[in-house]
Amino acid sequence: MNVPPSLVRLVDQLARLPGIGQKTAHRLAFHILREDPAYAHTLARALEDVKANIRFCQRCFGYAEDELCPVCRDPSRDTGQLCVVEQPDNVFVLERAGVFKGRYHVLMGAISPLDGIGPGQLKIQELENRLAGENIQEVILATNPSMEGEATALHLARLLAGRGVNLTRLARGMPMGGNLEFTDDVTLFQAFSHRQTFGGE
Amino acid sequence: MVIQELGLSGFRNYQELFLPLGEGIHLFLGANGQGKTNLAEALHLITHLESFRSRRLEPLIRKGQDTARIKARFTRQGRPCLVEIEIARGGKKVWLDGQPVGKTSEYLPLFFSLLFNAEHLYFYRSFPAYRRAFFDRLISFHDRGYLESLKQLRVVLAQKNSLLRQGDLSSLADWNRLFMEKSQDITGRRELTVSQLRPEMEKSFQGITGREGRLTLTYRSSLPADPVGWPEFLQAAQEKESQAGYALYGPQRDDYRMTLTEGGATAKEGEFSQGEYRAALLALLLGANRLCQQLGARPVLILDDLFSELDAKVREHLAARLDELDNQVFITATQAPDFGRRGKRYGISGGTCQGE
Ligand SMILES: [Zn+2]
Repeated sequence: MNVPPSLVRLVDQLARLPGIGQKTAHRLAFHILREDPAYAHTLARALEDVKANIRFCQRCFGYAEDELCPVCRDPSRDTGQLCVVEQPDNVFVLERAGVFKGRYHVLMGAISPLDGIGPGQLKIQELENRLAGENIQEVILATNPSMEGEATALHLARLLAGRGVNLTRLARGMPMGGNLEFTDDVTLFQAFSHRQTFGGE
Repeated sequence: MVIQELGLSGFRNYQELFLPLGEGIHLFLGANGQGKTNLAEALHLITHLESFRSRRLEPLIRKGQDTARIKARFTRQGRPCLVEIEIARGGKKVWLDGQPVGKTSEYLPLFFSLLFNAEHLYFYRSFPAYRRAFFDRLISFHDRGYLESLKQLRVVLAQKNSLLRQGDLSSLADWNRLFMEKSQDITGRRELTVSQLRPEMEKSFQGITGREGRLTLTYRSSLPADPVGWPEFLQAAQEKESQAGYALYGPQRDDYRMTLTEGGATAKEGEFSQGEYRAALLALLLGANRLCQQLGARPVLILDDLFSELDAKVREHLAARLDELDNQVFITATQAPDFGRRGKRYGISGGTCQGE
């Protein structure tokens, strides 16, 4: 194959992205090639910045550029409501949908013995610390509607029962076995507004 | 469902075969080793996408050829469909109405056939897992929710087993809670199906054998009958389950068993004679067919080597029962009774099939 090596390198790197096949990688590479050089520069900088600057929020473990993420630093957020999610990406999805005005807590996963993840591997102790230190009235369990997400929600409900916080779970209607990431905004909005009291027993 | 045309190419001992079929009872007659069972196998493959006698694909392909092809035109709920299956040594491909079928799990619930042959008899009699799979397929054919619950139970079970092996039991209560939720749904649907099948099977067994004996199908759950007692039961079982390193109770361990009560005595399934067992499984097949028909479906019946090992009286009764059905029926036999108007006879010889 007599293709300039730098083009091959770009295509190969793009093809490593999820959901991008060889064909799409080619299309993207040629697109970048045809664009203004400034675009390639901006794109490269954006890629480098995201790796260099993004870390986890010290309080909620969402994505942040500083010690605290934008949500935790925003004084207009409702500090009485805490939405518990599996992954930092879930915060991004919920923020984009704009359906929730409280704060978040990211567990960094879900209970999955098959993947060697028990409650001890999740940010559950950190969640308990927050409940003790912050004035939280409602905990919304927004783990994924998968079996692992369900088990995690059940576990938290069992753990947090009797601590004087109101526990709720996002309403069903989200496709079972699904993922917050792939749930559309309208469904998310409905799931939030119809959230139900949730208890371990 | 009615298969209107069947085409085979390079399948087992068939080089090329084209058969117009349609409604009725199709009798494939011929000496052993001529290709009767191969034909039954191809028909069954259309609805199950796997052979009933070979896990490997190689034996399905005619010697000296690279691929075997099965092509079937049929009507399903009045609509014409086309299924094409290509079998190579490395794998098989399936097209439905010209579109490639990606997931077997999306194809299987669309079609249903009921099989009776020596392999089915042997596997059903020997293996609880085969019995569970038989009923799972039957129930999920008319209950999509059941298939969903089964899938979820499989995930929960895999997680629970992994947990029991690792020994960190901090989330066992949570997995057990999900396990009970899914199990209750599944056992409930199984109980319901068995209770619907039971009277049909009893009637069919008497009809086929001409005996007074009462054949009874029972669903045996490994969990207590009342789900209210499950949490306590699983709590008590925790130590045993951790020692074993896997879940010892639940729908994955349940079973379906038959008894035959006659003249005041009750025989267990293990005590059935070969003839009684054949008749019992035919009664199950006819019962399952009734269930499907109540839901407006007409499964294809594939009865391979039907009349061997059945005595003359049973053969006659069975033929009469089959004649009453409005299903499309395929029967292979060395010789068979006349089925009157509904019967179409074919001679099978050396990989060819001729209508008589
Ligand atoms: Zn934060």
